[in-house]
Amino acid sequence: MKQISERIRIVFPRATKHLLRNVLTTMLGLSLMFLLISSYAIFLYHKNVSQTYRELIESRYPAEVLFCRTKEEETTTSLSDVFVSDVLKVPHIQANNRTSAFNAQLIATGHDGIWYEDINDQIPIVVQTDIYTSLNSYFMSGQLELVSGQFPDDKNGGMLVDADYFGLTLDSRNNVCIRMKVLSEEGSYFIERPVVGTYKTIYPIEHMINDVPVKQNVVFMNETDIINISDQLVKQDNMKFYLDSHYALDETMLYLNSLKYDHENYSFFPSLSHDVSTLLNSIRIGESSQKMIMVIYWIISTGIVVVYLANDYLKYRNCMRIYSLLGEKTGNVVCEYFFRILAIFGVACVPSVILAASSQPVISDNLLSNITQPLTEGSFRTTFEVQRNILQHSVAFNVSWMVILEAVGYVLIVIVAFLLIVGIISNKTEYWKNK
Amino acid sequence: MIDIKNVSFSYDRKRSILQGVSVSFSQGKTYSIFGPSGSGKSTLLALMGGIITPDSGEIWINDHNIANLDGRLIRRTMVSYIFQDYLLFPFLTAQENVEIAREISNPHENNGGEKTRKLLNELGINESLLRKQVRYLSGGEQQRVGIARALVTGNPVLLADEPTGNLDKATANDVMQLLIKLTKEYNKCCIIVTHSEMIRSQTDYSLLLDNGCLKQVETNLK
Ligand SMILES: Nc1ncnc2c1ncn2[C@@H]1O[C@H](COP(=O)(O)OP(=O)(O)OP(=O)(O)O)[C@@H](O)[C@H]1O
Ligand SMILES: [Mg+2]
Repeated sequence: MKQISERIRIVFPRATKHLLRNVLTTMLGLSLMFLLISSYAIFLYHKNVSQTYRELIESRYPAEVLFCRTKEEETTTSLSDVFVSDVLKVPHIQANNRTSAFNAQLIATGHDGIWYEDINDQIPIVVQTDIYTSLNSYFMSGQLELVSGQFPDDKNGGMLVDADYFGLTLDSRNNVCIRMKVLSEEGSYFIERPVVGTYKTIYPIEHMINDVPVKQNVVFMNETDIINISDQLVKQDNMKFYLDSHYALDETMLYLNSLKYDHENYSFFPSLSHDVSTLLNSIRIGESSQKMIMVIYWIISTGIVVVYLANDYLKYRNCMRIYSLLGEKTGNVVCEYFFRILAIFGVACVPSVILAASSQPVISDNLLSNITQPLTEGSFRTTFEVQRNILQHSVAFNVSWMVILEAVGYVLIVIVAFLLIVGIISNKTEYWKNK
Repeated sequence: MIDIKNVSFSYDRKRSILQGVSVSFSQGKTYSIFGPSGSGKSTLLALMGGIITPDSGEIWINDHNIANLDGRLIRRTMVSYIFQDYLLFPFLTAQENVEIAREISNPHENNGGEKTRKLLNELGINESLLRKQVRYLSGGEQQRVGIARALVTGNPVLLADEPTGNLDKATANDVMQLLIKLTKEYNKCCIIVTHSEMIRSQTDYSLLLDNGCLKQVETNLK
């Protein structure tokens, strides 16, 4: 302990003098390391944003293949276990999830929400509306009344269905609200919504669609999704198979198409919209080019720092030679050198850390449109806008501190590796003849 | 003081530089070593400072066989060097350069700063030059700082390798006079490698190194 404090007492003023009297070299070292740390951090920031965004999309839109029974089939049998196990053998297919759901299609949008009908013309019209406006006002004015279950909210992400229309079915199964789901469709993409409750109509609500009065079959939900419900579909057996990778969807569909399975009465389709898979692909291409840039960057930046350190070391060797001839202990000389390098590194870290701490965890519009190109147009845009907030928050956490730590660690590793190599080489150096 | 006993040395074990050199140097005396270029003069100085070790033979300084001592310890406590190219820390001031050597040799000495200043003044480095970084000093001034650095340590032996090689004649003479004067004053043993006749005539003894052997050729002692 005493030895260490003694050593610091000796080495500190020498190192400080060396740094302060060689201002240009010190400034060069400082700015090189600062540039290295901050550019690396910026690079990591972009990488993290893209990665978080991809993960978000992937979890929000899992890659699935849906098997649906065709409507004409009146059978009530489920998909056979043999069939399930067959499909599970298909490459990339991992697990399945059997659900009951309705199929729906968008027919119109109105002030109150979006209207759907089922594919089979049975016209159980569904109104989707914002829970905080229309739904509230209907229930507050007493036009509608909650029969069972609960109101939809952000947590349950569910919807209400008409008790008169679905009442029998629902009552015949206890707890059906939790088990029944509604499948909403946009293009070839489907989202499942749980039914969280039923309501009944006290005074009819009049809706006009294309000048046709519409019955009061209303489903309320609190998200802007696209729904169409058919009562017969309660019995319908849909099955969802999850894929292990989003990028294997096309391949898997091809494979399934080539399969001859027994149940011709089931059709299947990918659950991932074209937009989503294009988006994911563009993100993935971006990520792989990022990896390449990263390697090039790593080589160049490491090269720059190593050249600086090597130049500095060669200069310092003259000092070491003098120290050796004056008989200074090796420990002190090495300590002074380490101290100098680490001081430059440490001081360079300060502005980087300040930069990181003061930077707002906000994703710029430019960055967002970069990673979502070419999908800023088209149907995906709405979803994208909705997710913007979520993305902002999830990414914010990953950026700044984590990134700066990683960048600092990276530069530190380069320095330590350099010092180790120098240590090994300089053990063999002869001070006498070398200038 | 220094006893070199039958020392042989070669860098590559093929061509021997020194062959059975035996010589003694004593305290308070000045020696000059001359000889053709490449004869091994610098090598001999390096051997005495423990920078390299002899292949055979022994070197004794103050009754210590330096083969048993760490080279840095020898240079810290027994032997100080003065170089043709001064080898000062260019970014440190004259005073700091001397202070560092003193600090290394005598870390717990009291009043060291005073001693350093006095010594530098004796060598003609005045107060304003003291605080200048040595890279801004002239060659002669730098070599004076080099000499002060060697004297401040309290080491009994000074080894100077062509100390005036980079200086003009007049300056070289001044510096040499000072070196020899202070060597006597501080009672050191000073060994100077030189090509200069003028210096040879000023030292007590003059030795010729040729063909790996050392011979005393002149004595200027009365
Ligand atoms: N580090 C070394 N490795 C190998 N050979 C060396 C080394 N240093 C010196 N030599 C060789 O040893 C011989 C003696 O070198 P040294 O420097 O002692 O000569 P010198 O008498 O000081 O010459 P000069 O008067 O030119 O300074 C030379 O032939 C030189 O080439
Ligand atoms: Mg020489």
